Amino acid sequence: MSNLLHELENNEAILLMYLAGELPEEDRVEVEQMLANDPALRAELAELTVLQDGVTGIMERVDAKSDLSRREAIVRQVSRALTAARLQPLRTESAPAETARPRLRIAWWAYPIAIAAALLVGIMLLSDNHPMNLPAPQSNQFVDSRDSFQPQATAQIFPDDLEKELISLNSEGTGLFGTGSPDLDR
Amino acid sequence: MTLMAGKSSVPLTKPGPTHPAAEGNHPPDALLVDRLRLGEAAAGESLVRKYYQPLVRYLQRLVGNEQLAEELHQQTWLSVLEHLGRFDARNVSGGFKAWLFRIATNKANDHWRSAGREKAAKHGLKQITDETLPAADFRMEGSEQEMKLKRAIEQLPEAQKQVLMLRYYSNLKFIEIAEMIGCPLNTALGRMHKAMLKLKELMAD
Repeated sequence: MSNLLHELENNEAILLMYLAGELPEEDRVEVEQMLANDPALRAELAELTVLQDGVTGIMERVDAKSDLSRREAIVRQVSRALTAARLQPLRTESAPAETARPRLRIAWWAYPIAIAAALLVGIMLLSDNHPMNLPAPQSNQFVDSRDSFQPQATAQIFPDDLEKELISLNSEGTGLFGTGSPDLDR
Repeated sequence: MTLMAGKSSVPLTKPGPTHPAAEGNHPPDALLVDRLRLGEAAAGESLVRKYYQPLVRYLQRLVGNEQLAEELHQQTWLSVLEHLGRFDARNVSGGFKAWLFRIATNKANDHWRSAGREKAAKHGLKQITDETLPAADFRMEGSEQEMKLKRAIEQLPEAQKQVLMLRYYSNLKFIEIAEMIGCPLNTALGRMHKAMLKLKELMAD
């Protein structure tokens, strides 16, 4: 006797396994010997066979009448769901650039500063101080070489009396444009 | 003396062309599973087609509702796909089929767990409507026996129902069923025997 038959606790268990054909050959032979010698066990087996056939018959009949016409539609639906589920991670992996693209973030305080700057530029343009009101430089003020830059250019910008005053101040050593200005040397 | 040898008797499994093993010329499960792992959608469809009938019937008998059974059927397959990477046929007694039916069983159990109270309420309501709507029964004359079976199955204890339906629809061996539901072989066989007795009795009424 194998371990399996030895482990089965009662006749129903042994007979169910026997009827199902799930006993090893050695056990099956053993059970047939038991059946040959025991009429009560034979009667029990016959009863169990009728019961099993009856239940199988009921379920077969019911299943045969039961409608499974949606089979194709469901198989396709499930297959589509499987394909979609299978492809989903692939889709997200294949298009990371779109989702991972960093977005330009502008701080909230930049907006009032930008507006203020735009207003300032607008005011300057409308006022007399904008650079277009400065006297236009004459075409002969600049020549090709930097070394030949002429000092007369400044004389065109400042009035004569103011220029003289500035020159005199500089020559007196006040250092207005002289070397040694701490701000310029810094 | 002639005895009813095990192989020649009628085991309680779903016979005929609807049985998964006999249905169509499908390649072996192991091959289809490998192809599905590689992302071949056709292999998935073959598996769904192969197990459609026993799996949907099994779920229908467990939950007693066709629409819910179809929903759980879909959830089962999505779960199969999700965990396919971890499935190893060598570690599962009964192979892919046992694994598939285990997932389906878990889905049905999860459903009942999450809707335990709702089920009790619906059951009560159903008893009332079944009794007070004879016209509906008349309309379903063709499926009267199915309704009777459905009611009889509903009256079986959950554990007995599970073993009976697994045995009938999955065609798994008793030892595989016991392993799947996590009980000793003797317990599974005892549940099977009690379920058959009760079902026969209820259907005879």
